[in-house]
Amino acid sequence: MTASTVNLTLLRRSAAQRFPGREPQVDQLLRYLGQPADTSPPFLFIYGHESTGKTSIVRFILSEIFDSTHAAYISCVECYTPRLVFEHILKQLGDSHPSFETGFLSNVKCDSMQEFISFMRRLDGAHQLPRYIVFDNAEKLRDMGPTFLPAFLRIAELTDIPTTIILISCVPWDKFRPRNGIQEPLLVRFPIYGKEDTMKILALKCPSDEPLDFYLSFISVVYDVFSRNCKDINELRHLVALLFPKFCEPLFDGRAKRSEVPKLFRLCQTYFAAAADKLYLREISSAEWLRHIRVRRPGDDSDDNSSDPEDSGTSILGNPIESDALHLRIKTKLDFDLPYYTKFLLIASFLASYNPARLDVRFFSKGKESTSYSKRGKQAIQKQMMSNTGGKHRQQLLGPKSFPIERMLAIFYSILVDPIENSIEIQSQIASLVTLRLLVRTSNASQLDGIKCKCNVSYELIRHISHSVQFEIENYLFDFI
Amino acid sequence: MLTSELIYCQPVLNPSLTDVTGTNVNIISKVLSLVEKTVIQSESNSALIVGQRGSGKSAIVKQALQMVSEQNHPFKVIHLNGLIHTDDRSSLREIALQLDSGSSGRASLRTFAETLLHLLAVLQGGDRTGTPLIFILDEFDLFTQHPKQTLLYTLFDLVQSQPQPMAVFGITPRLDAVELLEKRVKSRFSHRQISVYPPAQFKSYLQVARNALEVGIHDSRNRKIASTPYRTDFNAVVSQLFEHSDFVRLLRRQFDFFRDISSLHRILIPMVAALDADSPYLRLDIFQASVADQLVDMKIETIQDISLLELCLIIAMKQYLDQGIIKFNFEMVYDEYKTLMGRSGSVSGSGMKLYKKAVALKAFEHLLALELIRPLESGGNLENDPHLRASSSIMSTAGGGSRLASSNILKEFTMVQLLLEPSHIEEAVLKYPDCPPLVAHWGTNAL
Ligand SMILES: Nc1ncnc2c1ncn2[C@@H]1O[C@H](COP(=O)(O)OP(=O)(O)OP(=O)(O)O)[C@@H](O)[C@H]1O
Ligand SMILES: Nc1ncnc2c1ncn2[C@@H]1O[C@H](COP(=O)(O)OP(=O)(O)OP(=O)(O)O)[C@@H](O)[C@H]1O
Ligand SMILES: [Mg+2]
Ligand SMILES: [Mg+2]
Repeated sequence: MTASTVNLTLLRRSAAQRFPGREPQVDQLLRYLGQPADTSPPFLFIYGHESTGKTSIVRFILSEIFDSTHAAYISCVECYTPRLVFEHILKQLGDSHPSFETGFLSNVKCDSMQEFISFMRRLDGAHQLPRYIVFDNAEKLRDMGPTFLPAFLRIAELTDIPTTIILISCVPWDKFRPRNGIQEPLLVRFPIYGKEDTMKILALKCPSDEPLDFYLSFISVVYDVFSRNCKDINELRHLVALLFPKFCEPLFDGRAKRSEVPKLFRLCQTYFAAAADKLYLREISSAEWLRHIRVRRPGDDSDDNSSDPEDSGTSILGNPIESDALHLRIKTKLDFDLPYYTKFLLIASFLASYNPARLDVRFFSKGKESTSYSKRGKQAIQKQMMSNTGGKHRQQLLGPKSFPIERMLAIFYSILVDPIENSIEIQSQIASLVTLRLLVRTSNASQLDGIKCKCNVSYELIRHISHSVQFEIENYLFDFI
Repeated sequence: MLTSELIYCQPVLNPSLTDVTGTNVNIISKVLSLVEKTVIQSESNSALIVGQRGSGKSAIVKQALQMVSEQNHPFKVIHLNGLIHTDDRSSLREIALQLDSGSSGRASLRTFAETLLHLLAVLQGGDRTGTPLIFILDEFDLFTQHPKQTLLYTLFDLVQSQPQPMAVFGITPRLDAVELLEKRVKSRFSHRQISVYPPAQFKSYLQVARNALEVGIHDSRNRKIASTPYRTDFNAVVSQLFEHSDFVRLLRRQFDFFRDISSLHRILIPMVAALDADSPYLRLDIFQASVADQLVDMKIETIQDISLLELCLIIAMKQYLDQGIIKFNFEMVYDEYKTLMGRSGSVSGSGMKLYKKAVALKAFEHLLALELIRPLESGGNLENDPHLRASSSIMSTAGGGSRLASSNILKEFTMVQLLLEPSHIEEAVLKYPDCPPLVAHWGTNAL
């Protein structure tokens, strides 16, 4: 046992500085792990929601205590097959001991648990310090076969070298237990941060040229606005990084002073509102966001392309920016164009997917009757069936049913304003809708007749499409709210 | 530093120091006599050792083998583990490796048939005639899943038909393991079964705990170690611990819930791992803290960390559960959520807002990632496509399956199931930090 010792008190202190709000977790981990030569509990399970610092803290602590040949870190997202897992572990644990016996490990091939165990036995046989294997995103381990994790938990028993397995996951341990029983871990919980801790963490990234108090008051509001639906540090950081320049903007064009914090908030309120969905949902990329709401800071034109005429043009007026960004969103979401008849095919599919077939005759009478008839018809039908409309099991909520193509075509012909003379193209248009995944085939692919499909398009999109061809789909839908 | 010093002599850190005879005298002697029959009297044998996880099965077998080996009779042990040797091919390769450990690497190149022949040749004679063989098949039940149970059949058949003495011991936590054997395999098995139980009396449980913590006077090779003042003091502190009522109470609790020795070790280890030069003796407060760290209901904790919007969605799902509806999709949940938000005029006053569908969908997907809800396989949607159905069920048996499934359907419509009991939800809502009273009301009252 020739391991060096680590000053745990110092380590505790430096971890506390880097990761505010995680002192209890750091303490707990240090208590379990101890010095490099110390034996640790065989099995730890670290869990907590996204961005609670699990990965960063575990990696920090391990790298400070152990040298890399005693602690392997595996991200199960990157290593998604048993083979990748084995080879990555062996690579890390074997790396810095190039010798005749272990030298071949740099391009080691290891396919099975059996080989892995025998490699592990041979590794570093001389001084058998405890080993650590960390599996991040451990929920993915369950995809690697039912014996994979249980076998890893036996490594110490099978190799006779103390080995600690550490799992990191967002999913609680309950979801890992296989039917055949398994060793139970010691739990380490990383709870979500409260407001105070969140502010401390975000404040670490305070720009060096801004006063901390000013930055804190800004963060505090961001937290209050967004914490109801999102407490994720990474998301908040993203929002802060993109909103803070907007918040400061009036300082540079002289509309407000640093002391007038409430005024600053009023001025940037629209951006907060826009950020709530556009940024949070990543409907526009941060680059686009910056481009669309970039402003010129007077006297600060060292900034790359702030002299771009388009950019500065939009920003002076204030509001156009907002509508511009909004416009952009509609476009990205709904902007794809289909040929005229294809649109009608899609509309007909939507109707066939959501309306009960028995009402087709009443909605879509063939002859020359106008839509007003159908409208009346619809009201009558709804009244007649009032008892089971508007419920929680209406088709609108349940999603599309599948329908035979023939039914959809019947609807298609009846909703077309001008009758179509040549219908040869129709089949290929249906096929292309299937390729686009706007229609989904539900019948067996080998089956040639009696094809069934369902419409895979949201209500918003179909409304947008039908309006583009002046078709009022609302009047033809049964039991929609 | 300290645990590395203690590891030579303290059982909780070093399982090979554990003497499991204490509570298992009868069982050990049973196993021992079976092994001796094979090794000394050249009788062949087979037996199953059955007991819950962590009850000491492997440790007992190990100790029995250790005791036999001290008697200086030649025999060879072959260890297989169902978790590692997941098919007959790899099992045979492993047997071959362990039989002639001299030329290890080469044997692995043989084909299945060659390995089998090699094994049989070794068994049937040559230079090894007469060396008794002991097969230990840990996780025995997994070997029954190998196609046709060829390995088990071969081994049990050899036990019956070969002149060479050999014993096959299966170790399993499954009480019904014998029933997993195919008829032709079963008929060759001796049906001898040895049951292992964790300590039944709290007194012996306490004794096991004390033995685990006290530093012994022998190291793992059974050499005597000199006693030092530190070790004497250390054991004195251990004795004090066992006189402390709170310590005993916490152990009692563990005993009443689990009873097996692995779980006892699990709660004792943090206290030992925390030893260092500044606090070189076991401390009750660390024990209490580490026990408290483990006493959590993870599901409820997970709910406490979700956002208010996610909580509202869960409450909306609970409304369905209260109506006896157990399957729903995002559209239905969002609809109910809207109804909830619309129902009471005070929503605006409480600072809550109705989130857009897209934001709610992101929240819904987060709940899926946390596996608080689970997509239903059938979803009622894969009507006629056997291909799709087959592939999706393969994915979900693998365990994960938290994606809002399939390219086949808009994710808003995938049916899901809530994996929480209504009572869980109520408890979690009551514990939710800064929960607006309105939400607490929704969560705890059937509307
Ligand atoms: N207490 C903290 N102090 C400083 N930064 C933190 C803290 N907690 C998290 N972070 C930061 O948040 C980001 C996300 O943390 P990390 O990746 O460690 O979280 P995680 O729990 O592993 O998340 P996931 O479950 O998504 O993998 C990192 O950039 C990290 O530095
Ligand atoms: N009676 C006992 N006295 C002291 N220690 C014991 C006793 N029984 C078991 N142990 C210890 O408990 C731990 C678990 O035992 P072991 O691994 O033998 O259990 P097992 O029954 O084989 O479990 P599994 O079914 O999970 O393989 C070991 O460290 C062992 O030394
Ligand atoms: Mg992580
Ligand atoms: Mg065992």
